[in-house]
Amino acid sequence: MTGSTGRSRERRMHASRPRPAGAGFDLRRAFDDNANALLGFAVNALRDRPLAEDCVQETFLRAWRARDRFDAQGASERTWLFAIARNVIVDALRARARLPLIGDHAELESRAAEAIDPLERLRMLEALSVLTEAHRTAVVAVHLHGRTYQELSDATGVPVATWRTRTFHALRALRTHLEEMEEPDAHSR
Amino acid sequence: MRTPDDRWAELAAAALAGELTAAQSAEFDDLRRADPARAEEYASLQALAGRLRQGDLTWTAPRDADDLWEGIQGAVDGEVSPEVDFVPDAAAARRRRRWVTPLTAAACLVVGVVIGVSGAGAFTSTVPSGPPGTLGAVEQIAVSDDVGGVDVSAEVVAHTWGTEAYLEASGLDVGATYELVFVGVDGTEFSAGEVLGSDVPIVCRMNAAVLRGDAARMELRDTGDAVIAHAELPAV
Repeated sequence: MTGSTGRSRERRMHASRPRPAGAGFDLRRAFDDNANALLGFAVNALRDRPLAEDCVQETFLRAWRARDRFDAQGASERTWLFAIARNVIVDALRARARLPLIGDHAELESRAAEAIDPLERLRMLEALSVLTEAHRTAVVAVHLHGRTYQELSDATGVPVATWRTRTFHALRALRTHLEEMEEPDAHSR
Repeated sequence: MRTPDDRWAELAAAALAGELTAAQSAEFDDLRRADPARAEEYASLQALAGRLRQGDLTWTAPRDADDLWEGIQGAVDGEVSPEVDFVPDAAAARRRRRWVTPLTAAACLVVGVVIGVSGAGAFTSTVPSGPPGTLGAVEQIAVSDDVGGVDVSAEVVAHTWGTEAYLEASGLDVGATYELVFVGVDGTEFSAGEVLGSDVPIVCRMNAAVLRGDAARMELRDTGDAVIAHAELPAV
């Protein structure tokens, strides 16, 4: 998210004007706090940027419509928004699956071989999306893209030991996020 | 100053990546034997690393989401959408993306700035292939540059909701506005949005509300409607 420029402050003031209901849910703040993580989740889940942007918009629209049902004492706002986003993305994936898939035979076979449980894939992407940028970079580089710590050190000038401890703590955070996601989504709809 | 916990973290991360030396491996084993909690933690992280390696899981860093705010705010203010199950149909896509077009320039990448470990091929790893018009397939097209010093290349992708162009351009006048237009087989024109010229190559994804089968030509035009580059699209 960009810094707090004069323009963004202006927009925030406009967006925060009194709404008829749901005063506990500040749409602009929720967007500022969560939109980048939600877009990362959607883009990587769908691999279709325009559709992912639509899904993020839809997520905030659904949250806005359901704002009266959001219980700030219950799940965190981020958990609530991600639960909504998960449903939106699953809807989009299902809609896309109903479309005719046109490709050569080898392509389709390759897809089948690579496929993992779609919900497991969504869980992992969701957990990755809420990591800090530094943590996500470390995990993605080493455990998704197979880069060595020495390669990372050579590319960035950051010592190998630092990359290793950072990745360890990133994996810990990732594990915590996954454990939290296994709790019931009391606020999803 | 590095603590014993730092050393444990360093060794565990190295072990998970298969990078321990013999001496480090012995030290790591001693730490695990001395502390069952650490041994248990390592086992759980090892399982997690295994889950990350499954299937086609990858991660590409998206651009900033800030551009989405205006569309959300507009939709909320107008409450234009009925509360129905979300299906990305073309009409809904057009309605929601109306605000996107003037912001297309902001969605462009400046080549050379994208670095690191984001996995540039992630979006193409499961893309279908096939003849022109195949849904989701990237179609190479031959672009002719109509102005000296300009170098434009493009690919198009057929979607159910229209046609997408991957545009790469260099040599455009810095700060000048250029419009990408698809011309239909019946001569109807469909704008795919506008970009600003830059002193470094630009890479953009742009979308037009015309089906690939109905598009016959793609043109990049300046503000005077002069064609800067064009491509004839094979019939589908």
